[in-house]
Amino acid sequence: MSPLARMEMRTEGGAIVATVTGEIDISNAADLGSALEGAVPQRALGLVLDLSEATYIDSAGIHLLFRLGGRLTRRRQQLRVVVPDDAPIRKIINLAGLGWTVPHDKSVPEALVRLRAEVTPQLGEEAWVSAPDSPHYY
Amino acid sequence: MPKLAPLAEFFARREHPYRDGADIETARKLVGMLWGFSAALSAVFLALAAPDVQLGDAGWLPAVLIVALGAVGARWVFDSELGFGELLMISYLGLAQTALLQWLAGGAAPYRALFLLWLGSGVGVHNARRGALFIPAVVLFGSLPLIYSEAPNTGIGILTDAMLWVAIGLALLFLIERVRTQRAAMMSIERDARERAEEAVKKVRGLEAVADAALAHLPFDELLSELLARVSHVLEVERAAILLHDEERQCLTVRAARGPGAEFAQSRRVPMGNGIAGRVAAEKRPVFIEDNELDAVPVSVVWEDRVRSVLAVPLLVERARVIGVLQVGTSETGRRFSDNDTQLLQLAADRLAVAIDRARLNEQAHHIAATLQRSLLPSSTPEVPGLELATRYQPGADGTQVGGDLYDIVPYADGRVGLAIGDVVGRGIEAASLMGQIRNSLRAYAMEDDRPDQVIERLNLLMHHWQQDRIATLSYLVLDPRSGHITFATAGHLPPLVLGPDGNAEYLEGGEFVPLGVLPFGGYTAGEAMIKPGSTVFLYTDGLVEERGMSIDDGLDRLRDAIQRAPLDADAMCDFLLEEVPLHGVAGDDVAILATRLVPVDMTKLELRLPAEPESLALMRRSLERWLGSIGVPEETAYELKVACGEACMNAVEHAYPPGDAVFVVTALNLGGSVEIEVRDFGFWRPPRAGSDRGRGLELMKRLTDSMKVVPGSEGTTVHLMKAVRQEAFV
Repeated sequence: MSPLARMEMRTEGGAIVATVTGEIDISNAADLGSALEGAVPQRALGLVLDLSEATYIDSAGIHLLFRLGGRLTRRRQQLRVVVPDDAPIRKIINLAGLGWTVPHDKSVPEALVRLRAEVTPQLGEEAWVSAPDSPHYY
Repeated sequence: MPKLAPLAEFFARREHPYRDGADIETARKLVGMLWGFSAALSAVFLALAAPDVQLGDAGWLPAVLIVALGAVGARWVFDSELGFGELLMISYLGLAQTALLQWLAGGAAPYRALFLLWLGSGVGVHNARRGALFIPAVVLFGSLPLIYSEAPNTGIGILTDAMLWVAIGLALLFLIERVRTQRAAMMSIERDARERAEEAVKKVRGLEAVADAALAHLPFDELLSELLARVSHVLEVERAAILLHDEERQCLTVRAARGPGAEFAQSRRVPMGNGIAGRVAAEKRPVFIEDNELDAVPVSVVWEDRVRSVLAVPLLVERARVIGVLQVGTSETGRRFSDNDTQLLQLAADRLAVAIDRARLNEQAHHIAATLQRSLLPSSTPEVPGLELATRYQPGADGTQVGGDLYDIVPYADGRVGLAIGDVVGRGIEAASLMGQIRNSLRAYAMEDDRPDQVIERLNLLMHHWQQDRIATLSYLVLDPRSGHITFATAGHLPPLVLGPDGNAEYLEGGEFVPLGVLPFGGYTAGEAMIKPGSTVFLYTDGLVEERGMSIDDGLDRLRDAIQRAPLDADAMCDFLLEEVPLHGVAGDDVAILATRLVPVDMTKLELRLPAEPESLALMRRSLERWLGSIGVPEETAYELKVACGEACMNAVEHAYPPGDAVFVVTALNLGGSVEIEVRDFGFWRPPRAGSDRGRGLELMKRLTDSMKVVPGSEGTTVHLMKAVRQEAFV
């Protein structure tokens, strides 16, 4: 079976930008969660998770976002989820009430601006080496 | 002469009467000749000394009778089957009649000569001791007529005669003994020589039988039984068995057996060191037991019943490694095994050892090839929503070599499916491994690119890169089960066959180019086609349609004709076509086939039975999506139902644990204006803990549907979902 989801990561403006396309369900949520968490270095401002091209998410995926958000907060970092209004999973995100705990934005640049505004850099933000940028499949 | 037999025995039996050198033929001739001579001399003597002295003229009657008897008897003895005993009796009879004649003739002198004749006869036929007893009989019979008649020369004459007879008798006895002793020695030398010659001939025959070059061409099992047959024939035993060393179990297992009880001996196990075979294997040298007493411990573990003699030799290969034991046995009494027997059996064992070692290597090579091939073909057929898939792989008639046929099914995440079939030209491990490389590369390219012509084009370039100097044919086809759209490309492979719902079958045209590995550049194009629900796409390798001496077009026509008569179920169709299409039963070449049926959608109901594992959820989503699309549910509503059902299924996956079946069942009903979905598992319902994502799942289900109900039960939990839908249009 071909992978349900595909993840790409890059470093931009002191944060990690991860783009997940495809479907997130119980079969890949846990793997995806640990990969995302491990990809964010201590010195980064946070993680911008771009889900505009994700086609499916279920409660396991939502749970992953809540947990990831909580962990990053404890590390004084932030998780911002990008879900434009026309994203396939927009309705599910809304129904699940993700917005109350995990901030979400309409685009990646917007998310990066907000991230920089809301999070104080812990150390010199350009001091760390870039995150892996090859795609990952889940 | 049966009546004389007891009497003859009396003379013959008491001790072993005759020495080895005695010769019955010569004895008969001697007695016959002397009897005849005696009769002739008697006739002459009757003229010289008439037998009318004692009884007057009446004496002529017995005298003439005696002569006549002698004439007839001599001839009879000559050709008779008389034994030594009877001949001795005749000699005594001769003495008696001579004595009678001499008495009748009044003790007349000429008859004395006849006693000498009978002395020769009596001493000649008998052995030393009995011969010595005959001498006094001659003296007695010779003296009586002289004593009881009025002969002129009594006293000195009788004594002289007696001395003469004794002297001549002893001389004869001595001579005859000597001749006989020499003769016996010669006979024994001759017998030994003959035995040795026979033994040599037997040995050569045995060697020939075991070393026969023709044996080398026999299949392994036939070689074993043929060698056993020859060995038991040459060694004149009725049982033979081959035991092979089983390294895993540390024992010897009977691999082949012959003779009484062979069927019971088959695959019997003997621990190392036990019994004869075990001892041979442990000591690496021949062991034999000869003429074992019946009540003793069983001689051989191989044959439980009464085997008296057993000879066993080890099967040795390089560096004196024992790979088994060859043994023969017999229940015959008194059987001994000579050195020749042992050597012969060891020769057969050496021969066997080489063959067994070689066969084991072959078996291993074949096992490797077969395992390789199995590992290269998909181990199971994946579930693809909306499709019924069936595959078959049938090895060629020559099963010792693996073929290079391949098939594969590549499911895409969006619900489409890639179907591949191909054939690497040639057979054997090399072809099979190339097939594996092609299959893996095909998968890799297919995941990257869903255009069949591109996938094949890249494979072709890769084949050139490998520089294997081999070519392969391949068909790759991507089917969308929702629309029935097909794109396909073919590299020198036979065209895909499509059976429509109307029962007509057509070969797909287009998308053809040369086989992989022929041209170092591309040129592959894709063909397109649409198939209707209920159609079947059938892919196959040339082994199915190619017959020696017939055009391939005939084969293709036969296949098209057969598929129109075949059962619609994909599995049944594969079996039917494998049975129907090849003209001569199992084809010489390998056959790989792949049938894909686009199952028509049931507009009223969808039922799925899936393994209770997270990976099943994606499959459920594809199936539900396709079904909801078919019944005209708008995309957005379908999406919501899909998510809600996904949550219900997630529950099922979490609950379904033993003792219930590790499966769950999804049933969706089209109620016209609304859709009802029921997800049933066979485990126990566990209420969600507050704040867990399970609670979130329930919440999602509630919000995405109009009604949601969880019914826990002793045999599992059922989740009911219901949602009103505005159905747009029926497909």
